[in-house]
Amino acid sequence: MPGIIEINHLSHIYAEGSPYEVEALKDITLSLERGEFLGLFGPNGSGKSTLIQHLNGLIRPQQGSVIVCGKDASNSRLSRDLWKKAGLVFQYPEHQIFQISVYDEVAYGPRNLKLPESAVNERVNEALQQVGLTQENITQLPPAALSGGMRRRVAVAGMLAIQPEILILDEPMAGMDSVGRNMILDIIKKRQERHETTVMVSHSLKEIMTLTDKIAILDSGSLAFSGKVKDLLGKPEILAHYHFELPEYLQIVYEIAAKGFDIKTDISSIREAGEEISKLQKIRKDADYLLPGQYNSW
Amino acid sequence: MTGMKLGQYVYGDSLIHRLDPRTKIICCILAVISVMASVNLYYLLCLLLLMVTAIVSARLNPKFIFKAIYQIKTLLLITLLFQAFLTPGKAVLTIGTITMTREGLALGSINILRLIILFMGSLILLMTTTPMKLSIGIECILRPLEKINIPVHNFATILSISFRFLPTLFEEASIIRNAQKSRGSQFDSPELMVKIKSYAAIVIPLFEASLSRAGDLGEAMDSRCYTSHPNQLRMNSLKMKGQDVLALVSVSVIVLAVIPVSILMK
Ligand SMILES: Nc1ncnc2c1ncn2[C@@H]1O[C@H](COP(=O)(O)OP(=O)(O)O)[C@@H](O)[C@H]1O
Ligand SMILES: [Mg+2]
Repeated sequence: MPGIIEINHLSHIYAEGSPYEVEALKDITLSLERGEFLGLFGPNGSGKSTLIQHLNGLIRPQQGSVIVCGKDASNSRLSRDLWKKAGLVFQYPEHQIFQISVYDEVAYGPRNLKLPESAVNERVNEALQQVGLTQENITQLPPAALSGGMRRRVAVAGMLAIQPEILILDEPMAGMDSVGRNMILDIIKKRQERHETTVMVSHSLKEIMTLTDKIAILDSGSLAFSGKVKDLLGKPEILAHYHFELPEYLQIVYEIAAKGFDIKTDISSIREAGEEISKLQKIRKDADYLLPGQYNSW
Repeated sequence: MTGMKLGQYVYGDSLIHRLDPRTKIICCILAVISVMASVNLYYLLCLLLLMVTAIVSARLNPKFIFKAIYQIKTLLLITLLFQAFLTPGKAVLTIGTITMTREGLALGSINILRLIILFMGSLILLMTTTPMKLSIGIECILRPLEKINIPVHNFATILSISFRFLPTLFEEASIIRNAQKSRGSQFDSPELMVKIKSYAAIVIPLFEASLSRAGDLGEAMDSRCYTSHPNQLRMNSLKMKGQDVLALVSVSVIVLAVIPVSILMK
């Protein structure tokens, strides 16, 4: 079965032939299954935003192909409606708020879907619930009266209310306090539990690794890595390149493995590491009993 | 939206780039005057040739200029149609009660040519002059007005700040536009009301951002003790050279030629 997102040999050049030409994407091939969670990492200017704008039809592929929910994004008629399928929350979405009340702001998307007002109402309430804006009367407040973090929640709710099949978040944590971050984490975790397809862009590798199982790394427009987080952990040269420090438990496990001990290295939590190490200790004790002195180097 | 960025400075090191900004501004003003004063086709073609020469010698990418002109196609088309239908003369085509005339078409084409020349002139000025030089140039030219208590310096500061933020503004506008499109704004809707309403979704956040930035900038200027005195060092950095005199003289000659040409043609 084809994935919900299929990107094949996609390249993109901004302002081609002008003095400002930028090769933003180079031969990207990537796919995502329905229900998966993709973390998209890359330094600033690596092309992350360009890539995700291909997914909801804002940018049509110049070279290569993009297929989202079975729809070809290079078809202008299909790509125009792609925003309903793939909901893209821009970076700093609170800067794009323009309605007079929180309610109208969140209702903007559903109204553009031409839903009846009763359905709009239902979706707005549900979306506000999801982002934790449950205070009474908040719907009638002007967004300008809210704090930056609250405004971001409103903006995210505005996209959730469209109920897209894929939710794409462009650096949703940028400039947020810990309450705001937890709110975003909450939304992401709930989507993971319900197996709803999500793409999250971040320029923090650590942030992404703690959240996802699937990760793609962009570097100056090229795909530097794509696969499972566990596979990435086994590639210290990539990690070192991005100055990523492994968690201490993983450093220990890798060190043990490097010494030639048979220990599982694809683990993802400190508890698992503890279990593996005590397993090894148990083996050592048994071995010590049978063959004294053999494991003394450890 | 990104098309509006086309007027930006392009780094280069040609004669045109090196000319004093005052020279370029005055040449542009002279070109505007002569374009306005003449309806003679041959004379306008001469001016066009002058612009093309300037573009070639400044080594600007011609494809870029064509693209920029293509951006104002609607304006050009409207000009042509209005002239064609509203000028009395020999009928070429009749639609209902309005007729397109041959005289109108001729006049329309000439007006298009005029607009293109003006547009090219301003493009050359903007693409070969840094915003900083441009605003110093304007300040120097307007300096005499200080004698009658017009705060030229403040005006120039406002101008240079706007030059600085214009690209930022367009970039922001295009981001907001894309963000609203992602929520289903219909900027290309055939219904006018829908279209106008969706543009409000760009203009309001854009205004908000600009106002807050203006506030921040003002504070930053205050905290660095900004006072509105002309920057003498900067102004004195401008020096008219031989090439400037040459450019001014030759452009003046071409512009003054408009008088004998229009007398002869009458
Ligand atoms: N609209 C645009 N016009 C021209 N260049 C652009 C535009 N948007 C992005 N770029 C350039 O493309 C490259 C990738 O940008 P972007 O996709 O925004 O990266 P990221 O989101 O990873 O920071 C950058 O070098 C940027 O300057
Ligand atoms: Mg980005």
